[in-house]
Amino acid sequence: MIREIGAALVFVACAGMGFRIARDFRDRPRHLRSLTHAILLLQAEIEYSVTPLPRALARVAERAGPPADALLERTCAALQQADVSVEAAFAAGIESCRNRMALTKQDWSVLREFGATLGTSDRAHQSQQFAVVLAHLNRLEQEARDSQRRNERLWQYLGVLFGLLIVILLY
Amino acid sequence: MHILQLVGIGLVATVLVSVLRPQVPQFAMLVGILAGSVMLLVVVRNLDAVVVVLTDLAREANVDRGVLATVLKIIGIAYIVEFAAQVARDAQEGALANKIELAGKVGIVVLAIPIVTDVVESLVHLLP
Amino acid sequence: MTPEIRAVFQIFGIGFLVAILHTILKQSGKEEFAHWTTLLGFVAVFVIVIGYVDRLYDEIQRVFLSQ
Repeated sequence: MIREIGAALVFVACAGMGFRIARDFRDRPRHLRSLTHAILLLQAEIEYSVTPLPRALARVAERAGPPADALLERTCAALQQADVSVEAAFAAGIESCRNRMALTKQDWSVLREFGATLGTSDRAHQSQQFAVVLAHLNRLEQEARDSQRRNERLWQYLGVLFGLLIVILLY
Repeated sequence: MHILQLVGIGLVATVLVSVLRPQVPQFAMLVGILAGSVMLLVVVRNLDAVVVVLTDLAREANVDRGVLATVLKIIGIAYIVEFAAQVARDAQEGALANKIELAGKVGIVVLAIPIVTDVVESLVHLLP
Repeated sequence: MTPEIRAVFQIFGIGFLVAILHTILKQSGKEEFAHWTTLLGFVAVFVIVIGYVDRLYDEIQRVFLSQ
């Protein structure tokens, strides 16, 4: 009886690990899309409504979907404290969300570069920066979709099969 | 173990081996070795009683104990060599199978030499 | 179900799973991993089988070689 429970636990743990890895692959395109959407909103706020950065961030944070809204909220909160550069505030926002989002180091570095250019250039350059980061994010999202298609199913199967293998070996 | 159980093990093993062989022939070989060892193990255990009867008969008939022991050893060598050689052949290793059989043959000859020597000497004494 | 039949089915199960894993891994481009997995499964099963062969050897020695 205890043996059966143990075997079931081992199997579920192994399959769960496989599914966890698969879920990261599944979430990455979704998170990238949410970020792209939020940055588009930010661009609209800054360029067409000419809202100053802190207010723009707060308003976009309200309208954006998760998980991008948490990132923007944290950035906004960090900006409220004085003597904090936009880049540092954005970095703080990134750090706060890092564990909850399924983005790779590459994705984060693109975001960090974007944070460095926010609020440091004039209008024309600003829209160029927006275009650059949006192009990057779209490309990364395409990559992420390909990667998801290839890897998600694979890791689910791998988790289940390795779990079965270990159970049979030990049973 | 009952004869039906033995045959059952053999049948099940045959089916499983035939399923495994196209995909993973190495595992098929291992299943074959396992089933063969198990069946041979039970068979040899059952043979124990036969060997005891043979030993008693030989003692009654005043046959030299060493001779009977040698004969039994030769039978044992034959069984194990045949098993191993057939496993090797199933795994497409004909050369290894032949080497195993050669080792068995040489072992048997070496064991049999004293008996052959005795027989030849007796025959020589019988001749004028 | 005697432990021997259990062992036969166990080894069959492991071999089958290893075959599936090998194919899946090979089709996703991770050939190295596939070969390591097969090798690992083979070693594990080999250890199990060697146990039984050892028992066979002991039995043959007992019945034939030490009368």
